[in-house]
Amino acid sequence: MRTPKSSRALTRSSGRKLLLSIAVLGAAASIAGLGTFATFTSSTSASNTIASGTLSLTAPFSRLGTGASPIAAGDTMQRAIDLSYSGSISFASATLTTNATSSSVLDTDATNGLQIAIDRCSQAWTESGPPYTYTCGGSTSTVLASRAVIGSSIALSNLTLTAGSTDHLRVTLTFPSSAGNTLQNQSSTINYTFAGTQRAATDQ
Amino acid sequence: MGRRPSFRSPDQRRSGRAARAAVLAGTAVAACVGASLAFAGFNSSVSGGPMSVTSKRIFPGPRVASAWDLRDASSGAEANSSDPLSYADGLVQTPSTAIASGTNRYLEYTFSSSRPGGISVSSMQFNFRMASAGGGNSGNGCFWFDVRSSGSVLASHGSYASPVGCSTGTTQATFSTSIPEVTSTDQVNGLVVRVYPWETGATTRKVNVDLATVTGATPYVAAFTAYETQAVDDTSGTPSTLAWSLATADSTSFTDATNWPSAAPNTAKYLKLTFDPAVPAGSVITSVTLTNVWRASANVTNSGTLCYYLESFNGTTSLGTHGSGSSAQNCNASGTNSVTDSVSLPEVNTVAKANGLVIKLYYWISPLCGGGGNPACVKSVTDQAQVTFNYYLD
Repeated sequence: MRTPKSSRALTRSSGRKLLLSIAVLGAAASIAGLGTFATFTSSTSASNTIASGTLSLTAPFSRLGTGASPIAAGDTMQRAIDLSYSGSISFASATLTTNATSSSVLDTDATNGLQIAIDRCSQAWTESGPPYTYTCGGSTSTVLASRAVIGSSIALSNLTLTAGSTDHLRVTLTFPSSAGNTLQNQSSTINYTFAGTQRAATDQ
Repeated sequence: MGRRPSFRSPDQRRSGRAARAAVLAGTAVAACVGASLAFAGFNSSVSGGPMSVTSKRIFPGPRVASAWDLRDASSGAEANSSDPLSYADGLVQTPSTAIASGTNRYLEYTFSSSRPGGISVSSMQFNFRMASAGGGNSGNGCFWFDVRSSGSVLASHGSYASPVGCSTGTTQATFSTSIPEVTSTDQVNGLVVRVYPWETGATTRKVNVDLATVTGATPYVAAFTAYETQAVDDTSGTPSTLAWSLATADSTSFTDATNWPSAAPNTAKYLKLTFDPAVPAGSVITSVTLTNVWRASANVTNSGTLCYYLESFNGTTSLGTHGSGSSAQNCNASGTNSVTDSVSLPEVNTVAKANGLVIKLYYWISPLCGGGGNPACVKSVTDQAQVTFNYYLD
């Protein structure tokens, strides 16, 4: 019976022989190859340009910076914003994230605090005021059903999302009639962020 | 089939395990990178706002004030017929029963709900003015009290062993006690104070109460008074209610002292109502309405009827009239059925006019009263006289 040491020595010896054999065969093949390419040669080339598009969501018109004070239970605040898909790539979806940089029970009370709803008009809203109100000369659709004003990545529906198009939106904040006296003399500052992601990848 | 025997040394085995671990770790990292690349895609966002929203300091709503100050000039000279508990004016309320220390008998006061809710209050006090009603071997009037809201005791002040205050004999004394446990107008509206009075004489006597009010301040009103709308007398051990007659439409009412004039009103003969709504400065008054629930003291017979018109004042300055001697605001011939008149007072359109509002009601019997064939002259019975102030504060 071999000791482990003699077994390892035997294995190393066999390995060296195998590597030497491969080296010899490789050298021979290379020489033979050189001989083959030494005769006629020909080549062709082609190029194509691949450019990535842009995905751009802008708001060329917005009344969302117009505050309201002082409001009472039952009041509504309408503000228009146009969302333009100004890049070369269409969007697959869009969401809304809202947050309060200055918070009060107006935005923390999900039931009696401010509620948000968004409508889309097929054409630009007709504005009157201030205080701003809007009428739609075309057809309207619901982008966001009424819900508490603060939320993260809230899905929006019925948007065009097509590159080069614009969605005309009316954001309506409602201060519920059910708001009690504890919501008197409160103040909140709301930020709105509309975000979109690109359309699904396709063969180009 | 058995496992092949291993000829690897322990070092080789450790090395192999390390290599496998490295491969696994590398694979995991590659998967993560691949996944992140797959989820990246393009995205874009745009912000709107910021949009600041502020609510009103006081929401629009009705606030009701009764005429706690009532002057009866049916005779041609004003007599003070005000709520005896609302002013330190010598008009006193005497409970039914003499009462000694330690009996746990009480007088319980419920205060008006005239304040807009949800507002913090400060400097709250319960003001109680009382004395012994006197009599042989009488002593002093003493009391302690507790403060209640929504059925719960907020705090107690004093005790039988340590009274909040005692009068000296029958001389009325006012005791204003801080009640910091009342922190909101939600508590002030409908606040209940239960007073435990007693008389210290060798012969137990009754007490006289001249004043029971709650005062305080809000961020918008430097001082307000909550007046009682109902008093419960439990000094006998059986509670009985003594409501201010003009505060609610109920079984208690006010009958003026003298029959009203015949044929035409007399501007020297009237009922004068004064209100204390404590409307905050800067408020927007949207409407003011008088509610007058009244009837004749007896049926006016022979086709006669009791009529009235009214005049509003800001203090002593006339603001407007509603009806006249030739065109009554309303008439009522019934001595049993009250009518309810709601009279809009659009001339009361500022805070100053609201806080200074005084209303005079001029009654007369039409077409005539007294004498043969004419209806008997009558008095008026007022069941409720209150004003509703609708306002808000931006």
